[in-house]
Amino acid sequence: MRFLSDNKDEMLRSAVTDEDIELLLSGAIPEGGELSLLVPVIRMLRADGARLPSESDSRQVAAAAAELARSSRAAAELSTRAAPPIRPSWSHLVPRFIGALAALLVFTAGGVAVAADGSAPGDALYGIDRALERLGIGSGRAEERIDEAARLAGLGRAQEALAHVAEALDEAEQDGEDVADLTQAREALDEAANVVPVTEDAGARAVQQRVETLLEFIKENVHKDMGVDGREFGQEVARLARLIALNEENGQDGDSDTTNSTTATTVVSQPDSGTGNENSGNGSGNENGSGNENGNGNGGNGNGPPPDSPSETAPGRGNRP
Amino acid sequence: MSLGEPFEEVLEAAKQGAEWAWVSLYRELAGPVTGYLAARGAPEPEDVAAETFLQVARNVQSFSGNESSFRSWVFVIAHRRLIDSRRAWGRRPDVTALAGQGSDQIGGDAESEAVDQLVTEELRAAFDRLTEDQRDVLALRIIANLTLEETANAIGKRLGAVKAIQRRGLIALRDQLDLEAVTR
Repeated sequence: MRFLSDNKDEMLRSAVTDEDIELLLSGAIPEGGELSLLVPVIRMLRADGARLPSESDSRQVAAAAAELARSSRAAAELSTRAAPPIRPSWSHLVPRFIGALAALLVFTAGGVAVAADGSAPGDALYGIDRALERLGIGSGRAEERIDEAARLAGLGRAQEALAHVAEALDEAEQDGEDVADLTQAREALDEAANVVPVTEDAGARAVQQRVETLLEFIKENVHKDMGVDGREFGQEVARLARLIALNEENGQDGDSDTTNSTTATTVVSQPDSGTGNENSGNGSGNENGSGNENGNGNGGNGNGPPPDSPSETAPGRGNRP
Repeated sequence: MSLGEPFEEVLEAAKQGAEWAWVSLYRELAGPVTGYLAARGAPEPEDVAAETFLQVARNVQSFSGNESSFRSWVFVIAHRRLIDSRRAWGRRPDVTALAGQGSDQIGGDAESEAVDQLVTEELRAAFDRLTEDQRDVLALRIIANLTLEETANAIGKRLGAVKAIQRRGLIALRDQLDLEAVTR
């Protein structure tokens, strides 16, 4: 058949004009009849492309698209404003976490993605849910908030950063996520946002460091199965936020707390050879979260004996209780 | 496009995240995009179309151009999503994707509905036997309703090459239908 059509191709090459083809493709019937046999198939294919999307599909896709456009715009504006990072150890961590953060926030906070996440095949939102997953993006709302918060913190705008995170958690709550103790975390964040200095002064640097510690903790832990870890997560966020507020109210005398926060940061960023650092960050964060106010958890984790080496723990992270 | 507003205004509103602009763009392009994806063997054309629009939204800040280049750009993205979706499903495009969207779903097109189901499936099967290039070009030209230039931009080929591909595709299609008419 291929042989036959190639032959005919040669024969017809001169008989069929470009004008005929354009006419045919536009759904009209070209004169001369060489191609008239094709009219039904052309019309059928044209009809395939002329179908209108359903009203509900249009609304849902449009809502998600508008959200993505807004958040990408906000991110672009922030990045053009971003000054050179004050703390390289933080800034080099950011890109690495964006992907993971995006995926994880689908399950924890905000917007279309969470609404769609509970949907099952056949539901109206299922397509969008899967579309977002396959694009590797979450809601585009909460993930951007935390990402923006990180940038704001990097710019020394601690208050805005804290307010941003509070907002993201607020959305998670409103979306009915089963995340225990998010309320106390949000309240603590709001409180911290109210007391941190707006202007850059001598204390701002210390605040910034603590805010970054907090954000790192959120980034590292928020993607875990919230059904299991939600309570600890909420408590730890609240604790770190209260530390910020407490230090501010007490001036600069909260030295032990500062040490604690800094230690946490160090543990998170220490084995920064690869994926392993995410894991050790998780471990230390949770041990702190179980009520260990003095940072002992960090020591236990840093010494290495309990779980395994970072490289071994990385793949199994999701399965750990 | 029949957007009702000048394209530049719709695009700018879309960049700012205005929902009406996205509704407008989606209603305008969802049919062609979904039809194109179905004809090219996307496992779930509606889902891949939604993905395509979300990807467009994600990247829209970096787009600049007129309506025609926007259409080409959307189909460049649709094509990429198509490849990814096929990979995800681990199979080659097949006939069932097209045959699955029977004329009963088309709605509102009396001519198409008048074509009886058997003939419709024969036509689709004939289209599916074309080469990849031919199906790509013809789907973009006919289903997506792109111009020659837009099609060339969307698949990254020269205009002359697109012309040649569509000519060969149409003639191959014609021969198949001819053959079927004879053997029936």
